[in-house]
Parts: sequence; structure tokens; C-alpha cells
Amino acid sequence: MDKLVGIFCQYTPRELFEAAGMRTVTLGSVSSRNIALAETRLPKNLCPLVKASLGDCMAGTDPVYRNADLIVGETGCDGKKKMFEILGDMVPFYLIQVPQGTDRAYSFPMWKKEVCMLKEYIEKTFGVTITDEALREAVRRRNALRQAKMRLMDVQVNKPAASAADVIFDALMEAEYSPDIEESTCRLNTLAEELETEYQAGSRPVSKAAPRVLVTGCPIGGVYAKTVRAVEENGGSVVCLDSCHGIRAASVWIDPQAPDILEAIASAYIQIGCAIMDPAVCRADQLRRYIRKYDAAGVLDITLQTCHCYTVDTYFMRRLAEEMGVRYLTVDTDYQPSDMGQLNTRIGAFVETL
Amino acid sequence: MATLPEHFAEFKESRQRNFLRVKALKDRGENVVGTFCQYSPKEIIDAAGAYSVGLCGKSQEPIPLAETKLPANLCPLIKASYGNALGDTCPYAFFSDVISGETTCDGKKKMYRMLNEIKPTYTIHLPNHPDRERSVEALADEFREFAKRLEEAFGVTITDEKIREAIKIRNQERIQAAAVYELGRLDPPAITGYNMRHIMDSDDYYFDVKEKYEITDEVIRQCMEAYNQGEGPYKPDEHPVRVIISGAGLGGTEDKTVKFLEEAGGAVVCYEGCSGIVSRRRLVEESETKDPYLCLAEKYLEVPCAVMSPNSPRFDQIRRTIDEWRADGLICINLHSCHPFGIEAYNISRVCEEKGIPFMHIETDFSDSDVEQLRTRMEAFVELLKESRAAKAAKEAANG
Repeated sequence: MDKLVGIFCQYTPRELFEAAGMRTVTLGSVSSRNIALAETRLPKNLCPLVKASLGDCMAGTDPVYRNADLIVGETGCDGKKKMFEILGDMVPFYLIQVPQGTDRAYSFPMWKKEVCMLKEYIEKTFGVTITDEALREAVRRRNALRQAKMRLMDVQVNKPAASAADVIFDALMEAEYSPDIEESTCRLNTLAEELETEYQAGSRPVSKAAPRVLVTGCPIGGVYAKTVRAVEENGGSVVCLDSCHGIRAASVWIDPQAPDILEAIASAYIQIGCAIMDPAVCRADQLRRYIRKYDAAGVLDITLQTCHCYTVDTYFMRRLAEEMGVRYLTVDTDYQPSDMGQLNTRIGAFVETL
Repeated sequence: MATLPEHFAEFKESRQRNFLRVKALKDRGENVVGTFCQYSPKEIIDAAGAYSVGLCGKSQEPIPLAETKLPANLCPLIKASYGNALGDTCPYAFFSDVISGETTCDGKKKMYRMLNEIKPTYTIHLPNHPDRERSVEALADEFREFAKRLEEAFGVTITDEKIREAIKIRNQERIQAAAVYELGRLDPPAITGYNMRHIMDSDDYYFDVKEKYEITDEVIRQCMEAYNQGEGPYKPDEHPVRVIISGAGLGGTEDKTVKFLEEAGGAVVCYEGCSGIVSRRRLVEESETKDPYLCLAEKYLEVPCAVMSPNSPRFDQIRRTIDEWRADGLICINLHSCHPFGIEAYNISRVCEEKGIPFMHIETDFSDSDVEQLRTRMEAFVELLKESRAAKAAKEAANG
């Protein structure tokens, strides 16, 4: 049986594990069921994703935590970074150090060293050799998956968009939690093709009048229903998901023929546009690009409670949206249903202004 | 002549005085660098011939203004620091030519970007991992970059020689700060924890390193003299329960934490954390040949801060401090929504459990809302420590 690796964050270069014949799945809980359990060890006033993830691990019911040969964490945000110190005592764990920014003299050398150290760690721990050829092959497979995701998301460039956000989001999440890259790639391509064909045949599942909204911010898996779906229920059309499981990581492309394949992997992953970076230039650049490409009329910035990177970054995102002449709304939420009605009202009013 | 803020006349007298003192520095043509934390390499600022002043917000007052731009659910120190700069209410921020920030936490890291729009701010990127092999080069690079920025800002040249000289002076300051904590090692302690805190915060009052050193020396001498004459803060036969305070951002909360604990009959004997004992004991290597930036990076990488992960070196330091200061209990204090210290409190509680001493975790802010609650908790903790000490004594007696 192939070895299984659970990862938390998109900065983890999955190709390294896959080149070693291992499979990777995403962790990062989207359910509130084990939050109370996690609060026996973590502060209550903390990001729900961080709490829910430790809770799932503590509960011992999640098959990935039970079966994974390795869990990989990253020093992305404070909450996860420190939570891993508790989680790391319960499961086989490895921590990757992500630099605090991309544009400093130290950034890339440090990051490349981390990627090289990860490779050595995998080889030593699992008694395998990771060849350049295997890395190139893993890059090709991941590129194909990322391109399939991009193709699927691109159907929303159409006016009106070719799909309800639900269809796309569900497919993306399914791919995220599946260890089978080829199957996921195939499934996403098939869905994209169906949507393209139907659209060309005249099918218009989204109203022409629906205002176009780009969603950005924190991982939205646990708050999807009361945010993204609320946009569409209130007559809007979500045309782009600028989030970890959406376009943010799917837009990574790595040259499989690069002379130094490890360097190519490292330099691609470091460009992921997360707000943890100081300054978050990649995030801002990508947001500008996607607002244009998807012709969004409004930006909905979704933050998870006390995710300081994203909540403080709203100051800059609001300005960016204003500069581009698009409307902006930020909502701060968690995994509990208590603010559902309030969010629906606010998001409804936002769609109305568009 | 440097000019004062618009609302100067409305400030309290003490603040007006501080404004005038920094203004005097500026009028003399001195350069001023605003700093926030122990990671700020003062040696480099010294070598640039500039004065460092502390900018950490420690009061509730500037917070409402800050919340017009920052999320409300954020650490009060971050909000207060930004609010002070935004509203021109802090003399040190107002007169700083350059601000040095560090990526100690997400909140600060992101806030410094906003601060940069008010004052030129250079954020030193800290590694996240305490392992020297993985991180020390990156930190040394950042220190070099910081030096370059100061050179550009002030039109000066920072030579290795100047840094080496500053290292020696700042090491003396560290040795002296450690000596203050040594006063707490005595039983009964020769100083209260509240006064210890006050000395540690004296960076806020003395800009001149030499002046501060002389005054602190005098304070230590007086403490020892009083102690030797049986006139210390505790009677010679008094043995208050001994507490270590651990955590960060203690400035601005000591009146409702340390003070209450000591009023309830406990004694804060030492501090652990970035400005605590282990941090002071760890000197920068004084070498005439080694790259001084590397010497600095090696030292600063060992500052006991929760930004680092995994933080096992900090836990070892806490174990040693508990033993050396013969602590009966430990209190972790952190500010509201400070994730690094808030989460790390759990692993510190495990260290205390292992050492067999009671542990308490307090999360607070700069407001008055929890004052009475904290008083009660401090009183209860002191009672608990007395009982636990008595139980230990009884057990030892029974074991012969």
C-alpha cells in the first residue's frame, strides 16, 4: 500500500512526496464538531480551522490522522504554527519553515534549503531515493491537476458565468481530499468539458443580470454555505474563488524540464499569494489580475475569526478594490451557525449594491 | 527645531515631559529609531549612532482610534501601538525617524505594513524555526539589510568595529539586567517583582545607555544594602510563596497582575520570556574576528519568544528557571488574541505539571474590565501555592 501524507497548507511542495511514491491529502478541518474538544487545550478565541483541526486529531476518528504515515505542517500562520506543537506530539510530524516574505535576500535561499531538507527527510525517514526524473514526473502530474482546476474555474470567465459556484467548489474540494491525482484530474476535466459544451449549446444556468463577485480570503470550506452560497442565493454570481483550494494554489505552474527541478518547485510554491507574506505582494498582484480576468464587480473578502493575517490585510484589500473601482465587503466568521442570518442580510445588501 | 504635535497642550504633564525630552534629542540633531521588541538589534542602532526608543503601546487610550483601521479582535498592544502613531499620542513614535519592526506575530507583521504609511518602518523578518542550521543565515541577512537601511536613512557608515563596540556595551547592560533578577533569587527576595518590572521598563525613561546603567547600578546597590540590614521589601524571616511570571507584553498590565499577586502575599521572583532572565544571561559573542552580524544572529535566534516553533529550547529554559529560583508556581500572562503565547501556554502548563508546581494562565488587555476578577484569581493562586508548599513540606517530613 502506498504511504499516505496529510498536509495542511498549499505551501507544502507535494511533488516531493509523490515522487517518492507517496500520496498526499489535505487536512484542515471544515467541521465544528470537535472544536469544543480542542478548546480543552487551545484558547477559545482562535481561528476555527486551527481548533477544528486539532480537535479532529484529538478525537481520533479522522481516518487520515489514524492512517497517515506522516503529517506535514508549515509555519504559515501563528495559529497553525503553534497548534502543530501540540498536534506534533500525537502523530508522526514534520514542520516546514515558510519565510515571512518573498522579496528579501534571505527568502529564496531559506526556502530552497527547506525544500531540499524536506527531500532529505523523506528519503531518510522512508528509506527511498527521490530522483530528478521522479520529481519531473510528479510535477507533470500535479501540473495536469492544477491545469484541470484552472480550466474548470475558467468557465466562469463567460458572461454570464457558465456555472453555479456550488458545482465548481464541490469538485475542487473533492480533488483536495482525494489522494488519487489522475482520477481527480480526469474528473475535473470531464466536468469542465460538460460545462463548456452545455454553455456553447446555449445553456445559461446563471442569469445575465447576476452581479459578478470574486471571493477572496481565508480557506472557506467550513463557512461556504453562509458566505459563498449566500451570494448566489441573493442573486449574485461567484465568478472566482481566490482561496487556498481555489485559484490561489491552482495557478502554480512548474516547468518539468527546468534544469534544477527542486529549484523550479521551490520558486513556484513561494509565489502562492497568501496574506501571511510581508508584504503580501503576490496576493495583491493576483487579486488585481483575477478581478480583471473574471470581470468582477465586487470582492467578498471572507476571514476566519482571529486570522490576523487576513483580517489586518482587509485594510489593503479594501483599498485595492477601491483603486480598481470595484465594491468590497469583508465578513469575519467562524464555523458556528449563529451568524448565518446576519451574514445573509449583509451579503444580500452587498449584492444589491452591485 | 523639531515641532510638537497639534494636540500637545491637551496631554498630561508626564507625557508632555516625555515629548519635550525626545524633542530635546531631536533639537540636538540626534537620530531616533523606534523599536518594539527584544529582537530589535540595538547594537546595530547604536553602531549607526542613533538612539533607540521603545514604542510598545501599553494603554487603552489609543485603541478606539486604531480600531477604525484595524480589526477589534486583535492584540491590544498592536492596536495601541498603531493608534499612538496614527493619533500622534506617543512622543517616541512621533519623533522616531525610522521604526524597526519584527515579524514576531501575524498581527504585528501585518500592522507594520500600515505603520509604514505613517513612518518609514523596516520590518526585520525573523525565522520561525529555532534551529541554527535552518535559520541563522537568514536572520544574519536580515540584520545586514537593516543596517543598510539605517545607513541610507541617516547617511552614516556602520562598520564592523562599531558593532563590536556596541556588542560589548549592550552585553554589560544584559549582565546588569540579569543581576536585577538575581535579587529575586534570594529568600526572601531583595526586591519585589513589581519593582523589578519597573527597572526593566526603564528603557522608556532613559535614552542614554550609560545614564541608565549608572542609575540601575545604584538601584541594585541600594536593594542589597537594605537587604543586608534586614530592611528589604520582606522581613528576614518572611518567606513568601515564589512565583515566576512568563509571557509577553507584560507592560501595561502589571498593575492588575504582578501588583495584586504581591498584595495578596506572593512574591514575583523572576520573569521568563523575551525580557526574562535567560534572555539576559545569553550574551552576544564578543569576537574580534567573527562576522558581527553572525554573532548577533546567533544570539537573537535564542531570544525565548513564542514566534519560534517548535519551541523546546524555551521549555528547557523554563525548567531551569523554576529550579534555580525555587519557584512555587508559574503564571503565564498574555494579551488577548495573542496566538503564539496563548497557544504555547498549554505546553508550559505541561512543563509545570512535570515540575510539580501549580500553573495559572491569564489572558488580559489594557482595560479595567477584568481588574476585580484578576484580583480574586491572584488571591486564590497565592492561597493555592501556600497549600501546595505546606503539602510538599508535610510529605518531605513524612519521608524523613
